[in-house]
Amino acid sequence: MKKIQWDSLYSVNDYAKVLDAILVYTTDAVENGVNKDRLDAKTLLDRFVKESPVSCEFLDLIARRAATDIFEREARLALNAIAERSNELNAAINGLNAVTEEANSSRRSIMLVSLNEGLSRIEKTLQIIKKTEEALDQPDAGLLEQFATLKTTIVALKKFEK
Amino acid sequence: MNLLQYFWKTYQDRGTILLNSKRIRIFTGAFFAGLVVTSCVTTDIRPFAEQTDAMVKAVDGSQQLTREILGYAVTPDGDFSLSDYDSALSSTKSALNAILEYSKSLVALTESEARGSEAAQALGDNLNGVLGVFNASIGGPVIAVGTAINDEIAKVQAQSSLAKAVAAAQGPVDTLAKILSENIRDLSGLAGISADEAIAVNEKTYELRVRFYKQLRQQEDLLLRRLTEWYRYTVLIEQAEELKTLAAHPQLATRASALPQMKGHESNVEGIMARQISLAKGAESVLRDLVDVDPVLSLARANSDDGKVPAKILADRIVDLQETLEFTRREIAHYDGTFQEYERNSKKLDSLKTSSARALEASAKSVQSWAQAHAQLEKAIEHDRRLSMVEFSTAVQDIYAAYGELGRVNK
Repeated sequence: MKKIQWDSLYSVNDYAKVLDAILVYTTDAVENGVNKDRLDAKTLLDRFVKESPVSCEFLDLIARRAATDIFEREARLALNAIAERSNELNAAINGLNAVTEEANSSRRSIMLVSLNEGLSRIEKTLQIIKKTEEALDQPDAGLLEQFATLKTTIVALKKFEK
Repeated sequence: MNLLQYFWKTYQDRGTILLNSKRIRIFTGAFFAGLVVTSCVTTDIRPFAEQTDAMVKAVDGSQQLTREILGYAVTPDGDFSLSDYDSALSSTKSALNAILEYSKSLVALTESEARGSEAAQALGDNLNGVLGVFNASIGGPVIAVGTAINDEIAKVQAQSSLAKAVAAAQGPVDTLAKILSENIRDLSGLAGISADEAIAVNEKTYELRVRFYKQLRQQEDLLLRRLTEWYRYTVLIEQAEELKTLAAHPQLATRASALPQMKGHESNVEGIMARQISLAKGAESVLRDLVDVDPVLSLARANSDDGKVPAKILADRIVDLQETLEFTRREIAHYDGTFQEYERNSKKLDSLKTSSARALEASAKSVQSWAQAHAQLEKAIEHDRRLSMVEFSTAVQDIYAAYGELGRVNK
């Protein structure tokens, strides 16, 4: 659109002609679908409201309404574009949630297995030490008795864990 | 206390009990096994988790800013509302929650082996209580070795689960990053046009009152200037009259004391009068300027026979100007709050426009960085997992070698 010489506008008629030109440009911008042109049109309409004198109040109302229409249209276009991606987004969310659930499940499993395996290994190690103690020339009877108690406790705990 | 320190302390505390050669072998086997297996590699997830947290906050914050600025743009009678925004952005909010939960699950996964190990260690400590004070020297290392081996198994399992999880998540992460970036691009446009609309709505809402307020301010300025000129005129006239009176005074001492600025020239009556005439001319000039710019006084002068404004009209006009100034100031005080409100809103909207644009730009960058970090994390985990497997198999071989030694002792 041709550059507007705001300083050269004096009468209401001058402003009316300028608004008419801006509205023609706005209509074209909305119809041809170029985002930048629509934003330019809104900027021109906002500028018109700012520059025009009080005597052009009725022209301001028209300009303001047109500017608001462009804003609402642009806002709706943006939000529609975002909403249109919801299906794809939800599919990705579901995919990620499945991974999260699997990771959480693995974590619980590792913790449980970790505890049980820990018990088993303690038990096996104790057996080796017990055999070693028994092989000594003078095995400690009290210690062997404690090993037996410990084994019973571990077996009981393993059952409890399950 | 790490495993090495634990064994060393136990050795020092219970050295006398461990003097038996077979017990020493057990202890040594456990010692080396413990030493070797604690070196397995696990990937540190925390930096990625922190980055995820920062990205989610950035995106969420920029969306809140966009919502705020949109709130200033929408009008109650318009066919567009904030609920439209909330509705369109609901999936994005869910996506951010899902991303956070995913990141937390990865951190929890890497910590799971530690928790399992802690649980086993806690259990071992309880079992030690059963053994009593004497057996603590044996029970301690045994449990420590058991939990250490167990810990490494869990680490390998966790690393494996981590690799699996991160690899499976890469697809959804790429899609999420792509859509979030596209949404941010649309939000940038929305924030920009909303800011412009909000500023225009603010201008329009306050337009008439602000114009009136500014006119009042101009009027106040004009009146003040006229009244200041009037004050200047009266002061000059007073000074001229004073000089005229004193110049005519017969006593030099009185002249000198009354006019300090004339000290040394008390006797120069002509000089004093010249000064008086100058002041009077200055006063006339000021009055002429005042009348020139005041339509009421100009009209009165034009209608007078002697080309001067009649004293009564001049006095009335000054009273009128003073009353107008008081009225103007009362009106200014009345509209001052409105104008301040308009100014605050304007500044806030300008600031919001700038901050939302910056926040959206930053959040777009953080989404890209986050997706790249995730891809790098996948590579790092795979690398660490291989390394961990190699170290783990070495550790297991060393453990078996240590127990093999025990096996020969038992035969």
